[in-house]
Amino acid sequence: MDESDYAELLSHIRRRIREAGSVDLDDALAAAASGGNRSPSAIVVAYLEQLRTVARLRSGLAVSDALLWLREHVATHNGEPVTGIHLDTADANGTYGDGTVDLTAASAPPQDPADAALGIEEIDHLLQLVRSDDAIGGLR
Amino acid sequence: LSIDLAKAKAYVDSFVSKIEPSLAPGASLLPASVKDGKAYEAVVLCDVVRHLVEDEDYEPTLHGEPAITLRAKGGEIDKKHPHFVLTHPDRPTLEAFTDIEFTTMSYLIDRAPAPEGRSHYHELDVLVVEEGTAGRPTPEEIAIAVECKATAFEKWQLRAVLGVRRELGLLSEHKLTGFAKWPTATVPITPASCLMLYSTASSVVEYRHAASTYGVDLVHRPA
Repeated sequence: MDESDYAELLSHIRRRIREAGSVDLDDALAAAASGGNRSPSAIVVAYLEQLRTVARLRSGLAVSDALLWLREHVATHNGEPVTGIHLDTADANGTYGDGTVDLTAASAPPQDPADAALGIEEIDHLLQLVRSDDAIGGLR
Repeated sequence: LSIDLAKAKAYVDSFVSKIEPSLAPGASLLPASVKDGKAYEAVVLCDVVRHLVEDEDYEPTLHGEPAITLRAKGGEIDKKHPHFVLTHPDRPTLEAFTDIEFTTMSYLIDRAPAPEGRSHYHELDVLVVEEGTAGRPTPEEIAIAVECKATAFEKWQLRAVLGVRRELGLLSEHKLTGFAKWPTATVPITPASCLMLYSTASSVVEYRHAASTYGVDLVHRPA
């Protein structure tokens, strides 16, 4: 693929994300990814990396993996395993509501974690293919 | 390896259909970008503890509550919030917190005007200090400071972390950090704090050279 192909791929990704109802997310990812005078292929890499990040964080998978490690390697002061990872919103002066948010849970359930994990694997595979594309000089 | 456009588009169509429900921000009042940032902070906190355990032989215990609870806004060290205590057979005990403000070097150099203003402290996403440190730690009390960025890397992030570095210490000959290898055994900074910027963007490594000159480690850590 040459850089014009990557420009078309970027447009395709952005359209699909917008059609999925995530216009604000696409705006933010595209604006951040296109900074610094990057080539279309570099923008595709930056966009996909951050799309992957958002999917991992909002599905709860990234924090669940962290919790899994903590439960195996860290004891609480009373000897029990770590029970969860939360965000306390009470100290934000009411801006974010009053309570705690479970960071290991999906932002917008119901979400099949297996589906999300499979989708993230596919992003990883596409990222690997793009990074190793001989036509644009391989690994960047 | 090679890829063609049609194959790449097919990948896109497939993964978008699978991750689509994950992208929705949900009904919470918590902005999605804030939740993303806090969730990444939790991932990095775990990574810091894991490195101290696996590379430096610390023994970790979670104090306060059986669950880790991150703060929505930064502030002083408050041991009512869950935090890690890290013990070592030969070294001082450490404590790891999130969302802690530190007292800036500029304030320590020129203490007027009193009381402390907003410019006299800055928030760090993850902080490791010696056990017993209280309030807003001074640069001399900080062992490890970490900034977390779960977005595409933008150059202002480098400028910001260099500003934090300036408020944590001055460029000097290399000083021992108290760690054997992680995050690093020495830094060219006095007082000798380790400062890292964790980023989900692989392009962060392109800026490592300039950052390392000032004892800042740029770490690519996917979520």
